[in-house]
Order: sequence, then structure tokens, then C-alpha cells
Amino acid sequence: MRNFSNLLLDLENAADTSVKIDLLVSYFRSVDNSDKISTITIFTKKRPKRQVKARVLTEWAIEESGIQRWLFDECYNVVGDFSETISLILADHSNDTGRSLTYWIRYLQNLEGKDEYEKKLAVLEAWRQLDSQSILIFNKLITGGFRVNVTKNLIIRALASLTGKDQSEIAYRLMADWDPDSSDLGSVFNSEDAPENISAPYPFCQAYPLTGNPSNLGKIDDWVAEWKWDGIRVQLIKRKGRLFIWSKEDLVTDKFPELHSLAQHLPDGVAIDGELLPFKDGHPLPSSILRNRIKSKNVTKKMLKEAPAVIKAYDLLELDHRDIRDTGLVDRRTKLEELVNSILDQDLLQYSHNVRVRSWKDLDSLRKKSRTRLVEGLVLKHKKSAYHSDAKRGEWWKWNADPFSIHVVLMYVQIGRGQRIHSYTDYTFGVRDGNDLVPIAKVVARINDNEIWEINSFIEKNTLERFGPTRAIKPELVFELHFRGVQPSGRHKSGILLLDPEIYRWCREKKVQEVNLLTDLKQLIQSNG
Amino acid sequence: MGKDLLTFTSKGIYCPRGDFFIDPHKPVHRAVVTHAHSDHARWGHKYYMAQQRNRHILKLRLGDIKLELKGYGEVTMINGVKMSFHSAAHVWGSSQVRVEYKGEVWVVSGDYKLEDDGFSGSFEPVKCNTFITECTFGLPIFKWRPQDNVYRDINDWWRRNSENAKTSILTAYAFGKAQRLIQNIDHSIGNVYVHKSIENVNNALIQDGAVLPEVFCTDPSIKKTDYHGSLVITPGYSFENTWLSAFHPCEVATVSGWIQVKGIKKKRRLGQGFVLSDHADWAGLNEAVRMTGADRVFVMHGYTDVYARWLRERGYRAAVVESLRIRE
Repeated sequence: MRNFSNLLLDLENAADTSVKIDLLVSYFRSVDNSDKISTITIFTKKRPKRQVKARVLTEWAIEESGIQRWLFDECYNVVGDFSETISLILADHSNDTGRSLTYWIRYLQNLEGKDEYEKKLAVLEAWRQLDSQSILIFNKLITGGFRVNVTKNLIIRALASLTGKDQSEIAYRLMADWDPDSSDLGSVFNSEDAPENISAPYPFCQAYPLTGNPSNLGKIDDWVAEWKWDGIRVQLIKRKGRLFIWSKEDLVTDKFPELHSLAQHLPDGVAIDGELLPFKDGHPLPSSILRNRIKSKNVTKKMLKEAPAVIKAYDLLELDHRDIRDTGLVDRRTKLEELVNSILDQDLLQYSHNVRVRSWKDLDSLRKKSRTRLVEGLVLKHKKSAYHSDAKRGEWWKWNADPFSIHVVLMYVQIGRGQRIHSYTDYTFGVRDGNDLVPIAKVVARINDNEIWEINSFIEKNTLERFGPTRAIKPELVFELHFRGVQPSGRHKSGILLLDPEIYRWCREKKVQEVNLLTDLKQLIQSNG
Repeated sequence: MGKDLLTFTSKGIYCPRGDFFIDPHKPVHRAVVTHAHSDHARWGHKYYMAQQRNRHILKLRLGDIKLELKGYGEVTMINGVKMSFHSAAHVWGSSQVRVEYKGEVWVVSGDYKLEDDGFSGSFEPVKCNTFITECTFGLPIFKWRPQDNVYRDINDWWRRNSENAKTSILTAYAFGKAQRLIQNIDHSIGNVYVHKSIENVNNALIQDGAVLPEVFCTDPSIKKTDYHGSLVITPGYSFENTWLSAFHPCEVATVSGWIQVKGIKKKRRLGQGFVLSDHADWAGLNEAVRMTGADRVFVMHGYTDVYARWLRERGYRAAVVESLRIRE
């Protein structure tokens, strides 16, 4: 576990990607195969299940350390994280017993099904054998709260560098439905001895955001334009008679029973890239409905009736069990259209048609009206483009509808969570309504540390009132917010709900008199029906 | 309050009977100073009294002051009150101040640590009735590892950077942490450079009797490549200025007790670092309080409310200094 905890510490401090990759590669070189697999398992989100709640773990730590509840709470207020607080309080700096990451993961898995008393004894025993950093990781694993700032892409690059294989191949293997307990690194990464995995999707090909003028891309005739549907990107796969639906994160087949009949209509050995959409009476519905469905435990009849899902098909990756990702886009799309037309349930699987225009200018005017069609914008794909693993600059571009923008004033602030517990980073913004200000959006600030620093010192000097962790501050700081849309809402004081609001910039030059009016937003709802 | 030997005023800790202040933060007639850190030894007092080892370091920090020096344990009568300095092991020349009148003894800890760092002296427990203690790290989440383990980590880090032809840069307080590092790191790994401000402190301390391993001073005329493999100790740097660029490629790490907690590390923007402090940790504070035998304890600096409550629950008469201050 020592190696792993050192790796995490080093990653925390590493500034750029190449350093992170070097750290990962040298870590992978230094540990045995079972630890390699365990690490990949943790990093690619196939984490061990939560065995104990943080609250219960805290009780045990208080008992073990012999300190009082209030003192633990005071410590937590400073640290901001249960697992870390416990690890600091229990640290005794005696030597770690030096067991491996895999050992501790198995140790945790063995707790499955045990009663609380047995779990407690096992946890106390583990704490006695671990040093402070390792206790922290152990606690995160046992409470299911393990988060780490390592993207799948970083792992893929590190493993490609380690094994000398293509990133795309590594990505393909990682996406598959592999079992961390029964495979070793060899079988995950050597296609020769890999147990055949019939569900494995391909890495998703991504489009780069287009900035600037599309005419820089050359002739419009070399490009295919498609609507960018606002849903969940998926791959629909049928192999050996079975149907699989993969989102970018996970296998979600079970959550969409209404699509299962496609298994009877699709030929075997196909993989289709598309967008999962809630679709009713010929119109798409907000994609959040389906995201909530994926999160919920059971799919109810009500869900199926109110927001049935369909797939808009973008691309064909596999046909007759053959990987055709390297053939040109036009060819793939032609085959895709034929395939979709040949099956009966065309309502469930719809071909996402080309947007045909003569000029970039015409296309731009269509893009600007994207919102009326409830799409996010356009995707431009070069006619000869292959279906790449991940993103390749220059061949696929996403050209989103412009976000809406308003000026708002900072009204309330709240201490951030977790690592941000030491500064005010949760901001509530308001707009003018007559002579009053009405809050309209709460946003977690994703702006640079210097600005947070400055805003925090403003907060210290300009607090009007405190309610627990929240402060009302003098409404002086004006920001420009961007958001994707706006909906009427009965649950909000303002009567509206902004979709995906984010801070675009801090407008130091603007005064509170210059922020928008609530009526501006209400008009937006009417004009975008 | 009137009959207390020491009281708490807006200018600092005051002895009414002896008419002197201890580490006052506003100008006073007579100041007894525990050590030369600027939050304890402030500018503007008429007369200063400090422990012998502080002559040149105080001069460096405060210029020409009227200063009287006393040895550790040497008793000075001030208006009938017995005053003496006792080692606090925080930095070179740091002291606790013992005050006695008619058999009643109060001790002001100043800043202190219990571990002997080989440079700042060893902590002397002083029996007293009332102990006024700092509690900068007064929470049980602060537990220092044995210092040798930390030095080993620092040496390993330096060696690794050195093997990659990188410069290792440590940020540490110019007075205290810097000398502790110079004293304890492994000089066989490479050259050790210090920032000019640390060099100035070193020279003052050497004049005050300290012995330190030889180090070099950073200088704009030194070539970048000459620094590769070396360790540079600096009190801090600014990302905006070009100072750091003189050492590329380099690794930077901070040496501080605050590194212990991820959230604090982030808030103070400390980045990579090593947990090493010149203050007592939780166990150290408790041990120090226990050794004084005091039944009354006043706490100041840091997590005062929490530490005072903890002491009260363990049977001490404890209170927070800041809350007792008399407004004038």
C-alpha cells in the first residue's frame, strides 16, 4: 500500500501531464501484476463496494483513539474530510506492516456479508497495521469515497508507454467487461490470451470544440454536418445474439428495456455509435430524465411511459464482426443508413440525417437556431475521417449553439466541500427585480485560485449577515454567467431554473446597476418555448 | 485579576508588580522578549531584555535597540519580581520566561518544541503554578513523525533530484527552520545554497555563538548549471518574479507543519512538502503542560478554544488569553 499511497501523494503534487505519466509508469514498473490490476481497477472506477458508512467508521475511530466526540468534530472542521481526519488522529508513525494494495482490497472484499461487529474488528486491526497515508486510502476505499484526479486517458497513456502497445488497444481492453479478480495484466493486455469479450465497445471518438470561423476548414463539400443531439452518447452492440448498450462510463443495457427488442432485428456482429434520447411524440425531451434513470435502482413503468428512449445512430464501427473504423466516414454512414432502413423497429433506432446546406453561412444560421430543435448544435465530420480512439484534431469538430449569457451579482457565498472547505467557493448569484435582487443560480466557482483568493478577501470585509456556513455579502461583484437554457420552475423563488450555469468571467468593470433583470430571463423562456 | 502576577492587556502580557511586558505587540517602556521572530520581538520598545544568544539577531531584525542580555537560568530582579529565561528549543536563543513573586511562579512559554533539533537547544521543563502556553498546533490531528524520518525523506528527495540534474529548492523560515535544515541534512549529497536573507541570519547567529555547517549564498552571477544537483534554501519566492527561473530545472518543496493537512496545504498554497515544525505537536503540548505541574493554564495562538476546553475537561483551570485581554 505504501507504493500506492506515495503514488497518490506524488500525483497530487505533479503539475503537468507528462510528469503524471512518468510517475504512473515508474509505479507500474515497481509493483507486481496483482497490484497493477488493483490499481487499474481503482483508477478506472471499478472500485470496491462500500462496506461501512463514514458515520459508523467515525464512531469506531473515536472509540479507538479515545478522544471525545466534540474534539473529533473540531478536527473534522479543520480537515474537511472524514477519512483524512481519522487517518491523522490514528497515526502513530510506527512502521507500516508493508502489505500490498491487493492484500487490502481483498481484505475489504472479505468483509462482504459480515456483520457489523466482525467488520469493526477487521477495520481496527487494519488501522493498527497501516501508516497514516495508507489509513486514509483504506478509509476512502471502505466508505466508497475514493476519488482521484487521474483520468482514464492518463492511465491509458501510461499503460501504452509501459507495454509498448497502441493507446487504442489499451483503451479497448480497459472498456471491456473484465473481471479484476480473475484476470491478470497479461490477459487484459495481450489479445492472444485474452478471454473473448463479446460486449467490449470501442473507445468513443470525440469531436474537438470549434473556435473561430468554420470556413477555415476548407470547402463545405468535404464535410458532413450532423445535429448534435442532447442526450447520452452510447454504443449499441450486438454479438453472439446478445445486445449491449455502453455509455462512455458504463454498461447500461439493463436500464433500457424498451430497446431490448432491437436484438431480434439487428444482424450479429455490429457496433453502432449513437445518442440515447428521451423521445416522445416526435420530439426529444431533456436528457436529464435519462441520466436520472441510469442513476435509479429500478426502471419503473412510469419512467418507460413518460420518457421512452430511442437511439439516434451516428456511425457504424463494426459490421459482420469486422472492425470498419478505418474506412471513410461516408462509406460507414451509407452502410449505417442501409442497416437502419433494413430493420423494422425504426422508431427505436433512427438514422441521424445529414444537415444539408450549400455554404458555411447557411450552416451557421441553422446552428444559431439549434435551440428551437432542442439540439446542442452541430458536429462537423470530414468525409474521409476514420473513427479514431478518443479525439484527433482536425477531423471532427463540435460547433455548439452559443450559450446564453447574463450579468449577475454575487449575493450569497458558502464554504466549499471537501478540499475546498477552507474557502468560499459556492456562490449564489442574483438578478434585479424592480428594486430588489432575486437569487437565480448557485454555482460552484471554477475560476482560478487567484480570483477565489481575491473574492474571499472581499467576502471577509463585506459580510452583511451569517447563517451557518452561508454568508450574505454586499452585492457588488458582478459576473457574467453562461448557461445552456432556462426553464420555468415552481420550486425556485425566482420562478425559473437555469440549466448548467457556469461563471464565464468576473466583470470588475461593471456595477450592480448593470446586472440583468429577471424579466430578461422570463422573456427568454417565452422566445425559446 | 488585580492580584495576578501576569495580566493580559491590549499591548500584551504584562507584569503589574514588575512593570514590564513579555513579547508586547505595541510599543512599551520595558519589553522582555522570548525570541527574535518578528511576531514576538517587535519594534519600538524603549528597553529590551532577552536571552544572551539574541544580541546580533535582534540587532539584525530591529536595528540599534537598548538591549540587556541574560543567560539561561540567570535570575534578574525587576522591581522585586524574579525574572529568568529558560530554553524553549523553538529556535536559536528561544526562551520561556519564568516570573516569581513571593513564592508564586508563572511561566510564559513563548513558542516551543520538545524535540531537540541539535541546534536550538533542548527544552527545559519549568515547574510553575500558572503556565501560559502557545498552542499553534493544538489539535490531535497534529502528530509529528520523529525528525530523523523527515530528514531522511528530504535527503532522498534531494538525492533523486540530484541524480536527474535538477536543483532542489526548499522553502523554510529564514530564522529557525533554515538553520535546522542546514544542521541536519546530509551535506554529502551536494552543495547547499541559501538565499541572502538566510545568509544574513546565519551570520548574526554565528556572531551570537552558533556553529553551523558551511553553506554558499545564492548569487545572480552563478551559472544555472552550477546549481544542478544542489539544494537551495529560501524563505519563499514569488512565481511572478524571475528568481526561481535561475534554478531551472528544479523541484520545489515547502517545509512546514501545516503540510500535514491537505486542505490547509491547499489553502496556503504550499504544494509539495515535508511535515516538520518548530512548534510542539498535540502530544508535545500535553507533555509540556504536564511537566510544569501547573494547575492553571492560559493558552494563546492557534486552536485556543479547543485546547482550553480539552485542558478544562482534564481538570485544569484553563482559559484563552485573547478572551481575557483588558481593553484600555
